[in-house]
Amino acid sequence: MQYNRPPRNVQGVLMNSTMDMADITKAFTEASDALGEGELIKDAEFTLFESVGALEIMDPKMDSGFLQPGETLYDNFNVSAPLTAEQVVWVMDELFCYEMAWHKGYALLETLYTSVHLDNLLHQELSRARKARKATKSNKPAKDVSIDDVCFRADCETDQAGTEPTQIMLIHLVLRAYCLGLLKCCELTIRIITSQMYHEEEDFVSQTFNRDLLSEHDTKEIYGFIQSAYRWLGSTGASGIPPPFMCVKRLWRFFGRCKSFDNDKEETAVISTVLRTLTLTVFRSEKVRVALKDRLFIRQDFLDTLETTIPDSNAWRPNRVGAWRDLRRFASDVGSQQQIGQPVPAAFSEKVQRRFSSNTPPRPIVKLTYREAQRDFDQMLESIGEACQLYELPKTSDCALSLLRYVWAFADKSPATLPRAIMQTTLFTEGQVCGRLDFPFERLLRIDLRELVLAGHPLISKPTLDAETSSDPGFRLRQLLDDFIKAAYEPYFKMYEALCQNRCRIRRCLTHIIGEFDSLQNEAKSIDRKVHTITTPESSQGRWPENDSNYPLHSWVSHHKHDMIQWVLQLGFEHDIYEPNELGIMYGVLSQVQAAQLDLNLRMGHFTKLRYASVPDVDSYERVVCGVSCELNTVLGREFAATSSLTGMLKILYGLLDSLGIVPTSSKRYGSAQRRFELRMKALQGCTSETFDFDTLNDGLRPDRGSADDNFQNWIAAIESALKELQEVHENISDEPVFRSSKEQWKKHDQLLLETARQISERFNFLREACKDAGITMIGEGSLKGKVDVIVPPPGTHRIHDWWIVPEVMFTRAVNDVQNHKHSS
Amino acid sequence: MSGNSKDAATNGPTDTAEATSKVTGEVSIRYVAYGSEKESPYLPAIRQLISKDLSEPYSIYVYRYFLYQWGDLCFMALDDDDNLLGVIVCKLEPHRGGPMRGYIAMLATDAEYRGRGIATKLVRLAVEKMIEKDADEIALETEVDNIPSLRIYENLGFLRTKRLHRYYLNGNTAYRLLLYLKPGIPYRPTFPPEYPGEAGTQGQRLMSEDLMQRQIARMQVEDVHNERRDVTGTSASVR
Repeated sequence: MQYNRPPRNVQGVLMNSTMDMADITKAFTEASDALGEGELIKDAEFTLFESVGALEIMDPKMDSGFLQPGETLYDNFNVSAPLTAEQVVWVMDELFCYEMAWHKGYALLETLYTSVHLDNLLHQELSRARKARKATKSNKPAKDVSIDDVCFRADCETDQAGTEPTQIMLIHLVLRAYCLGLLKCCELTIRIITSQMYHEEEDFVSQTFNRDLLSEHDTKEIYGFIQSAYRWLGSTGASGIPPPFMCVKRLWRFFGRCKSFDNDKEETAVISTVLRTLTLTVFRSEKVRVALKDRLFIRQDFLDTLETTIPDSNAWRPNRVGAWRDLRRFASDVGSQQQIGQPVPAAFSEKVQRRFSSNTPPRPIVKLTYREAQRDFDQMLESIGEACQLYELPKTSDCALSLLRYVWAFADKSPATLPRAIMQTTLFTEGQVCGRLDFPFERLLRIDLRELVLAGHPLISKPTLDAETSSDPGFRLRQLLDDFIKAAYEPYFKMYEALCQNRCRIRRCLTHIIGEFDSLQNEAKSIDRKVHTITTPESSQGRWPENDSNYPLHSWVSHHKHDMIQWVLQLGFEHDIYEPNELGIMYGVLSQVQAAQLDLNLRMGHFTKLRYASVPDVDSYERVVCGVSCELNTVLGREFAATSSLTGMLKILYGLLDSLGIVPTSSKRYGSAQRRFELRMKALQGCTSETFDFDTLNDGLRPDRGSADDNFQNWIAAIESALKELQEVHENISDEPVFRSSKEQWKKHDQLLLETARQISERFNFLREACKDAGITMIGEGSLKGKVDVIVPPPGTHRIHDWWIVPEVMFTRAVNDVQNHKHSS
Repeated sequence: MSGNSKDAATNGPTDTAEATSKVTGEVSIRYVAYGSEKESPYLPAIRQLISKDLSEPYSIYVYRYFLYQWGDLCFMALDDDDNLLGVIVCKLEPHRGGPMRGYIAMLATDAEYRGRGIATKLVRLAVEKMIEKDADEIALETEVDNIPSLRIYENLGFLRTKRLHRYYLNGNTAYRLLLYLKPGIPYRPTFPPEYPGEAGTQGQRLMSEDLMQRQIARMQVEDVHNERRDVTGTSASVR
């Protein structure tokens, strides 16, 4: 093996280094000679991670510096070269598409960083920052950070002599303003997202690859620059707004590098010419000028509104739901216009990433179409609007449950990462839930407790709140409640936080939070006992009646825990993780949880009603609070009962399909049904208070043997009654506080449940006829195999609601017909 | 990792519509273990078969990492002339200090020989070897809409346990599939606890095993419709 001397610059590095260096080539060669062919040695520290991080030099797919014969390292696109107005529009639109791909979760490297224009600006910013650092080190007076330093500079000097001044302005004012605004938007986005909980690489890639996205530049300055460009575009038309002379002058001075002026007078003369010659010749149509203005306007507006959502910025004005709505409307109008851009493909190059990534393989460019980008932007603005909507909630509608439902409804649409982060700032900004100055998150927890279990309870009664001396029982009660709040705060906070994650993570996070609530439940029970000893002295220690279910804190924890268990199961249906032959048992599990939840709700409602009745003063605040709580528990009870009926019917339907031998199933070579059920229940492992027994659940699936006629009659009657219950829930959605913030969502949700119930009813009717046709008179004796096919619809448009999977049932011949039809067409 | 996703996709016994097999008629196929003694002369062929569809291939060290340590869990399908038609690469080690977890890292078959059940046979060989080596459970990931691949594993007894958002580098979402081979696996203690990364990231980058695994998986960038990501960028677009 020939030993090549390291290249000069590497040597320089080595010589400057303070480390001890030794040439190991000889030792390495000797050691490797001692190995036989194909023999490997693995270092104990060499992990999968290292192996994945390894790159093979000269492999074009791994070596980002690899050049094909005749290939140059970079494409030589001159950022100062004039572009037509249509081309500038195109570059802006392309940048926007890349920006949206970045928001979707791709790295800057494979999206925005492929822009030669952005790369140039970022490079100028890097040099500016370096110079500033050097100046600080050498104690020279630091120059003010100015956006003037971040401008397009071509690698070689360009002769601008023959270029029309307006075209120069298009690049150096208009496009530059757009790019600066875009970079700042990215910087603010990263700040907002990384200040909240998200999953790096999965939700979002915050990595900027050692470039600074103008973090040292004030948003106002960039905003102002965009405005100058906007006004300049305005001045070329008939709007009569005077052109920003100073801005043009500043720019033109920069061009002084390329075109020298003899004196100030000449410079002023040239600037005046520029302003005079802002003729419309460059803007072949009014349309293109408007297109440029629109894009600048959206950028400026997005930048401005984005900054207002950062809690630690001076510009924080979170309640700008109107501004987000306006932006969305405007962006949607602009997005729907005909595209007029003219492509300049060379303005984007995959080679740009070579400047950033010496240690990662080259990544393919990821781009969305303009239409996709528009759709994503529109959805993002809609979701941000929904998150900000919380700031507009009237104070009178304080209702923790309503807020929780609102956040659920928000999460239901799978919002992008930025809106989810903004939702978190809305909820978790210290001491300011929904932007209210006097509203720490802890208060939300206290409201939640009051609404569900503590209304009228001594724990929050006036004497307790007023107690001052430690001998006062109220004082002790207050301490106990504080202890509980302390313990419950984190799990409760995490529950909200989990709902602000992506759909897959919501399920995974909740699985763990259930465990935390499970532990909290024990603590709650112990505090409940102590409270009971104080409030009911005669029961003293050890005489707590075990069958008395008035453990308010314990009940509260249990309520939320059961909610989360249901969500985890429901998200399992939504994520399509259960196989068709598991659906029956999984609805069985859900049914068991819902039954427990309903039972709990009845007990909570019972004790609230008792306290309501015991408040002597009918006009007192306590009585009002108890009334609200009673109403809430009634509403919840109604809803639990209705959904529980729906689940029960689905369970029966799948049990029936199974007994008729028509649930799609496959024989499994490995494992067993018990093992698979164990695996299924792993998600609920954190919940120790419920046991899910495979055999019991399995037995519960088997329909009662007996006359088919009677059974069908009973089932159809049961689903009719479930429909009625749902109808009642639907009709009772009113203007009560519990519904206020999310009334529409509740209505929509209940409407879907109603439709689901109707669909289930249709299935039972179909099966009754199919059984008649097949001569099945007794359930459990006879099969529809070969006669009826069952298809489990995938999530999405084929299901009325992703959580409630109603199987499609049809005669086998109909399935064949459908398939034949497909083949023939 | 996701060697499973694409190749197995057109490999299943139930696969009819997707069959892209160009070779017809009887082919005699034998299945052999990679072995654990030396770096096999088949390594270049394995690498070529697996990386054929990858725009960002694994370095030689990724293959060596698996094959050096778990060569007995790697099986190859060969024809009479010793041409490599399919391969499965796995590992087996305690999962977070708890159960012994087998992991199917890569699975690939030659496009011209798909539809012959080669992938299923390779998975069975690997599973049986893992059972012999006292595995408690076996895991893998595959893309959510790769129905043929899901079918292979589900027919063998694997269950989808989690949906993993944007698991692959190309932005595709995955399912994690798991097969329990013994009772009581969920109750075995693990250390560190499962999913330390579940807490998410707050202002800092996190290098949990989960993330690491994902990064490895993300190296595979073919999307589910077999429209390979074009590294030249000429047809670059995402669904």
